[in-house]
Amino acid sequence: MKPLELSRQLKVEKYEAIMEIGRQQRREELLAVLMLAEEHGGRASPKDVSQELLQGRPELVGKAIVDRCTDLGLLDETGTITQIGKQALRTGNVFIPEKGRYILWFTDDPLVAQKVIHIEPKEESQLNDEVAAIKNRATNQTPKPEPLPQKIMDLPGGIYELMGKDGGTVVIRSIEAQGLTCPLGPNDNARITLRIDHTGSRLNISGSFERLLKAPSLDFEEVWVSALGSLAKLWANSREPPALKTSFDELSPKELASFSKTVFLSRPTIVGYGEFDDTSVDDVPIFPKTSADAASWAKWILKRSVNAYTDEERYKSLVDTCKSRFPDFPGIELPDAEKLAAELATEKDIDGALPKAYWYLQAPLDLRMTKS
Amino acid sequence: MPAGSVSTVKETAFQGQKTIDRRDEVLPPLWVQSHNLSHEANPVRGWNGSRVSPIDSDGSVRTKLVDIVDEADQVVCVCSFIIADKSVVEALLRAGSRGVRVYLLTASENLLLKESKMDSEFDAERLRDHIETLRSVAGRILVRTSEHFHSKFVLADPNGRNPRGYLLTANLTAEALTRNVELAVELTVPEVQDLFKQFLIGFWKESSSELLDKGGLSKVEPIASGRIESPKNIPCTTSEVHTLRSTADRLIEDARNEIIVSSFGFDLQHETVQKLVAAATAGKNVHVFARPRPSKSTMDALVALRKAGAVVRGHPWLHAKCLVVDTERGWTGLVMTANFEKRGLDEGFETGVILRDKDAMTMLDFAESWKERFPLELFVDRRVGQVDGEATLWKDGELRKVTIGKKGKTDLHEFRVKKVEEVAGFEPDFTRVVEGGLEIFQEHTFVWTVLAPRPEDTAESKTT
Repeated sequence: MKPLELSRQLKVEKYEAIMEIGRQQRREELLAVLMLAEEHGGRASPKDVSQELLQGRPELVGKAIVDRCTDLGLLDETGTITQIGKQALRTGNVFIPEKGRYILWFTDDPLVAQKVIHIEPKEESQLNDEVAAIKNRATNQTPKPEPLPQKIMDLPGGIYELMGKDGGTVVIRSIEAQGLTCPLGPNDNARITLRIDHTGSRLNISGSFERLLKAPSLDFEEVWVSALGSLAKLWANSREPPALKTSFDELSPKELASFSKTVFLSRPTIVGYGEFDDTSVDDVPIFPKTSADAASWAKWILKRSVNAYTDEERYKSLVDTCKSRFPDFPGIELPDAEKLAAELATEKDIDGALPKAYWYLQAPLDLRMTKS
Repeated sequence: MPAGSVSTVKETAFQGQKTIDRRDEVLPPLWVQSHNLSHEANPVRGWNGSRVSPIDSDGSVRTKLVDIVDEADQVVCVCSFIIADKSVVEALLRAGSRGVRVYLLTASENLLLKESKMDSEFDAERLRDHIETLRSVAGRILVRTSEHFHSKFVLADPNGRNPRGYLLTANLTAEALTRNVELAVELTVPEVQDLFKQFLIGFWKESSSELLDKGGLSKVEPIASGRIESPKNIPCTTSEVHTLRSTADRLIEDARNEIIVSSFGFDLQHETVQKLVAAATAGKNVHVFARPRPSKSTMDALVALRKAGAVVRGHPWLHAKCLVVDTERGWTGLVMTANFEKRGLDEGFETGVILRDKDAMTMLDFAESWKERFPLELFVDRRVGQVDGEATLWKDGELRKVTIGKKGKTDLHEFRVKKVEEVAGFEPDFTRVVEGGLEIFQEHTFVWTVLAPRPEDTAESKTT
């Protein structure tokens, strides 16, 4: 069975807000302070910095550096290393603050753990824009700042991996309460795709944003059954291997031969993670729905397996092999060679030519040799 | 004798004439026409009460074949070197349409392509018909081929309640079934069942390709192990069975005084033919029926048999292969599909039927009829004076038709000599004319004109 691939349009919201954020940069001198703090039980004092990092220079200089770390959130007021400081140690980067007007892309999609998709500085307005803004103000078309939703106001303090083209990691330090809700444009288009099978799952965003995300912890069997929807009642999960009960009549020769089919899923849903677009899954294991289906299916396979001259012994072996493919239906009855040949005789083509399998069965019956 | 002279105004000419008496001149081996070729293709017909039938222009044998195929209700097994007769093929397809399984063994296309280019039993047109026939029956009847399938028989329901069958010397073509001198033998039930064993050998052990659908011939995959009994009553040639040759040899050896043999092909080098020559040399009456054709091996054998004392008669459409001898138990015959050659008696896939009593007597009657009605007889020691009429000479590996008459004149036209003194004594070389001519005269008169040399020729002669 091929992995189940569920996909849908990522629902994105877009805001313009004045924010203070920190962008990651490599700052060796600050990292040295953090490493010192770690060596000293998680705390660095101006004195420690002066003596150990500044070769005994005045403690005042050490204090200035510790204060800078405090300003950047790497140390707290007591000089103790913060979570941000610890992450800086791990990544080798520290967040350098900046403040300005930013565009923020946000998603509520339950599959995406990180709600911030991307942050970009708002481009400085050009003279033309200013003129347009004045005109708009006159016509009362300029969007007015409004209180941003609480879910946006809850973002500060978090560290976010940006999913835009240039990527990067930022920390949001603060957001001003008033901002703008922006309309979505053609460049705000993204899909989220969950690919899941027995071996694990993979989640990625594609389109205007590209990122491989950490997939939520999901049980494939549960997801599959949930995605099957109305077909779930035909899914025999306790069977080994699990397979979909299927009627003989609705299967193509390829499906009959492979014991698998492509299953179409309409608006598949994962409980707790929402609905996805229509999709199909290739190579889904199938098996007969009823014993009548099993009998028809087994006979169909038997006919197909007659691809060389088949004497009594070989026919018995083919029948046994054929039956063994339907362990769920141990009572399958298959026709003897003569009857099967008679059935094949009715499958003439338009010119009256008989199928090869007919001759493969009938010739050994008509032109029987003595058993050696 | 040269005689007479004429002078013209312009040139001096000498009229020469000579008559050669060729009556004592020994001819090369030749087929002499003793009767006109009958419009009835086969010289014998209307033999009732025997299971041996001749082919006739009414197609009565073909009708019998079609009948048994039409009446079959289970299986029809056919073997024919080449198959192209519309009626028979239609009957086979009819059988297939009503659920009767039809199995056909025939020669491979490659062999036929090779054969059709040589002196053969069939022509290129028949080969085209044969190939077209196979295409038309693909998938409807099961065809298997081999380079050596040469036997000819039709079996209907060999394992059923009413087994029937015919062994033929004829291929299943329109010409062979209506024009040729051929034989067909209706088989007894034990013979049908025995011949079916040979069919099984051919089908399972000796086929190389098969035609299962319109996709063309495919290589035959051998079936899992199985044993096939060898035929016991039917003499045959297969890769492992050589009872046809031993039967023919035994019959020749058992002949008291009479041996009648007919075949399309003979090979002097083959021991069975040597036995025939030896029998003729020993003074037994050996009658040979053959088809005059430019085959060196066959003509060498026929000449040797004739020289040994056999009477050799020919028919342009003879294709029957048979042997009839008088043994101590009475007349015994063998009708078979094999020629008296290695390929047939030692190798290949051939069949024969032994005929006794009434059937052997019927064969004898056929032979008597053939003696009277075959148009040609082979002679090896004929002199020109003994032949009057058309004949076919065997010389330098070729058959050449000539007419032999009592008297004839050939004008050799003009010869110019280089010296005046040569005019009176000039005599042309007649040999070239005699040997290459299509007319031979017992008394052959040649006339010619000798022209005196021109003055410039004489002058040139003087200066040189």
